[in-house]
Amino acid sequence: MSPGEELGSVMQLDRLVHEPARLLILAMLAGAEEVEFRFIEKLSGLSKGNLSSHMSKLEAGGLIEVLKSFRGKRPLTTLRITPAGRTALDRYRRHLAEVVAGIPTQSIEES
Amino acid sequence: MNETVLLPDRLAELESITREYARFSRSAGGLGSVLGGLLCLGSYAAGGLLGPSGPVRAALIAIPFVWIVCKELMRRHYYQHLGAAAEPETRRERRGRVVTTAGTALISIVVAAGVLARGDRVMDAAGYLAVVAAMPVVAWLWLRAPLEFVTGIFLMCQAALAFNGTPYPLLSVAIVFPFAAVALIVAGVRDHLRFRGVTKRIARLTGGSGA
Repeated sequence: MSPGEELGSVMQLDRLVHEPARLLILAMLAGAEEVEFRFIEKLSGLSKGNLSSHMSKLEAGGLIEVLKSFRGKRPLTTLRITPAGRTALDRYRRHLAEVVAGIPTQSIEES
Repeated sequence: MNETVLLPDRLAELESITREYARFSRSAGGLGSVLGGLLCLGSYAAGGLLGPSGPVRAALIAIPFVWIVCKELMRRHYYQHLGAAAEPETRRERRGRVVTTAGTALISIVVAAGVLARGDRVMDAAGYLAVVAAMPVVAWLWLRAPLEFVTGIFLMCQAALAFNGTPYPLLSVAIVFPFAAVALIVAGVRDHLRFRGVTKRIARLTGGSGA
């Protein structure tokens, strides 16, 4: 792959998915039917505000569903990956693997 | 956040941890299964050996409900202590659960109809009928794994019979249930060890803060 093609390939990565925090959220959601906000908060190490912000972007992009309910008197937020989200994550994964495979080993060692 | 976390293998690790953790929302019971297996062995032995005295009957009636409460508390506060993550249910699993619950409901209806057709007074058989009627509901909501289902149904049947003062004798058709109980105990221990592995993986991932 030429440097121009490599750059083009990197630029084609889905930016909504590519952001590290959002990628992390999607990867976790892909492993379950639905996941409580608290679980993602604890595993990701993201703050509540940061997580909410990324959650809203993913929801707006149609990649996840956010379900609000109550457990007793406490609000409960549950997240679920949509079929579109699953497809986007799979596509991103394949794309990223191709990009990483195209980087010469020497440049990885240097970095 | 460490960017290296986002390499494909790290993503797969996160997904895998969530998948393993989510198993404990439904198909993996851990210590709850061990407790269920032990209670099943206890219920079988007590029903067969001790006779239908008042305390024994009370214990046999209470056992399935105590087990379900304990295992659900364990699930929520221990196995899902970082927050709930629901395990996906495949169409095949869902169909299996619908069929077994429908079968249980059908048997419950036939048994209840048999009791009523025999001319028993409803008030005399009220406890028995209540447990029989509760069986499909309990199966659908809380007996979602195959071995849990088998063991739980035995405990419910034993409870229903204890209301009538005639628990299963030692040598009866119920002799198969202790084997299911042992299998449930083995599965529970195996699942619990897997859960310990998951908590270690989570601790590694979060630097010890998550698990």
